[in-house]
Amino acid sequence: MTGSPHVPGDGSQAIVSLRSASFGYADRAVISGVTLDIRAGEVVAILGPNGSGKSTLVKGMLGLNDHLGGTVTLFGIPFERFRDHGRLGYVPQRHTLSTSVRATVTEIVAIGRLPHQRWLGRPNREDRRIIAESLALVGLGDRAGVDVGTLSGGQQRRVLIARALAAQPDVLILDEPTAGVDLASQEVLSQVLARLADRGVTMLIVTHEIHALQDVLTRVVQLDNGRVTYDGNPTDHDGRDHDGHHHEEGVALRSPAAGPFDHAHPRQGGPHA
Amino acid sequence: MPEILTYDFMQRALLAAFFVGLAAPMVGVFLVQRRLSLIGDGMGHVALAGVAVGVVTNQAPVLAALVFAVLAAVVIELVRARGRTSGDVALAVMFYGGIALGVVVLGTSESGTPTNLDSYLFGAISTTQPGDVVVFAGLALVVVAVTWALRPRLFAVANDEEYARATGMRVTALNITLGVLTAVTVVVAMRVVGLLLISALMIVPNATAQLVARSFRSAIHTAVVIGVVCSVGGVTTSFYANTPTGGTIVLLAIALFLAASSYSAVHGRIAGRRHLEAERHEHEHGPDCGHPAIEHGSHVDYLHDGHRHAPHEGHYDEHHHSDDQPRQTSSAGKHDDPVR
Repeated sequence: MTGSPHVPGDGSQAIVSLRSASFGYADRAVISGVTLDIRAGEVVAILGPNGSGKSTLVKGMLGLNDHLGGTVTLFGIPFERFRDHGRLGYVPQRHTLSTSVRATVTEIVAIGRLPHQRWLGRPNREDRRIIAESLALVGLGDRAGVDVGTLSGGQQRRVLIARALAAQPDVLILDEPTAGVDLASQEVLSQVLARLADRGVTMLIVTHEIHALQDVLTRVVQLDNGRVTYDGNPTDHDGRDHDGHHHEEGVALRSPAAGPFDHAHPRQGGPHA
Repeated sequence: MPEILTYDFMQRALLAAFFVGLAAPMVGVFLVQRRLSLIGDGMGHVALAGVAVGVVTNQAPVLAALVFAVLAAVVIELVRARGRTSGDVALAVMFYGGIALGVVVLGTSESGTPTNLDSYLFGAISTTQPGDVVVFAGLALVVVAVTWALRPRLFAVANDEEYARATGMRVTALNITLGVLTAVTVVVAMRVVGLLLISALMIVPNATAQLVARSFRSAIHTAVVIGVVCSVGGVTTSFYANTPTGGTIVLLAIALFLAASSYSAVHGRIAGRRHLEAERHEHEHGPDCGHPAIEHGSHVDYLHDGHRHAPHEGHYDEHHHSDDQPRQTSSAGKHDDPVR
């Protein structure tokens, strides 16, 4: 483990591979029959209305809910035997961080280093370097020592992104990173995501809308009612009138057609399957 | 030698107080962080049932209390992990059941005099036996060592349980461990401050530390110092003032808390008056915001339309606001900023 975050390799092996996977709580499946491969270098938006199962899908990959059917493979290892959870960098949907006690930005981001530390270990120089670098990546290098409770909502989101980056994951899984923050913060967050995409960080972004992320996405997966209704490149998705919006302006996409990560993704049925 | 140290029983009392003052705030900070400040009280209630069973069966009451409190800790965590709202009521039933059972069983036993009950409810530190001190010291050191070793992970779990779970941490095991540490602390502190006041020594020093500290780390250190000062100071005060020890310790802790609250209120008001906020703007300064960054002592100012904006909490402060001319070079080392 050296630099942070990981720049993915050849992308031949799927990071996440789902085959007819179902996830849910107790015996109730929220997501069912999802087949999906996420490969290194991809920046994928998981789209869908409230209750369509977007969060359930990513939480399922993280082992935060019940795996109810199908197969899930992470980095080529069957889900049940996967132990290297640090390789999945999770940015949960939080409007604010817990502020029951004081904690500095650095102390929160240091949590991300724990998978790399022994039980009695404490952050060493290398850990501190990675923490500082993660904070610089999200533009909070000048706030390292302040109490997180004093930061704005958008800044706290970036602290959570830095925490995930500090773990040096192979993929970032972000749950609604731009929801519920003001416009200025949303812009900064988009810049942060673009900076990460430029570095080749693989990302899975759960979101309501992709306008702010147009420039960085390589692929869009649309969910409705617990099933995949579209899986393909963002331009085609954009042209579809699926949510009543047309986006005519020629958006500069991150070369979705020619990039090294342009894999053929079988579509799971038509838009109204 | 001061008079207090010439008595063997006071030496033992001061030692026991020292260990309790050390261990209680270390465990308590995680209870505060998890918003479970009152859970120690509940465990104390259940421990009383253990004491009673120990007294009646002529077993060691401290050991029986330990067993009961640890069982209570495990039950609490399992109930909490299931996340049912009825769990809250179930815990209340368990806590009240514990103290009621303790009082009734102690009342029926021949050796269960009212004085005996009092000594457990409110502490009886001067009756500490030499053997007890050794046991307390051993238990307290185990609590301190385990808490210190697990601190980063206990902090992570208490801060964001879902994230900790996603990174593969054993969240339930860590929470049960914290519960058991709390139970052991409750039993160790039982003879010093009494079952009814135990939570105070775990929580109040942390509440005080939160008012003055700037980070989690410094808050723990501050709380431990406050805990030791209050417990040892309380024992000393009670010796000279001839007051009950447990109550004296807790009143001392609360006095420090009130002093810190008024200090931070006054300090906050002065700092608020002395610093000037920049106009609200949508733009956020950062390394690539386009505004020149100027090192200003411990932080960075951003030059924005001739004003120097320094990040402070959720807003920006005006630095060098009396000066309309931007001085990019002259002020780097010396800063006259009143706030930082």
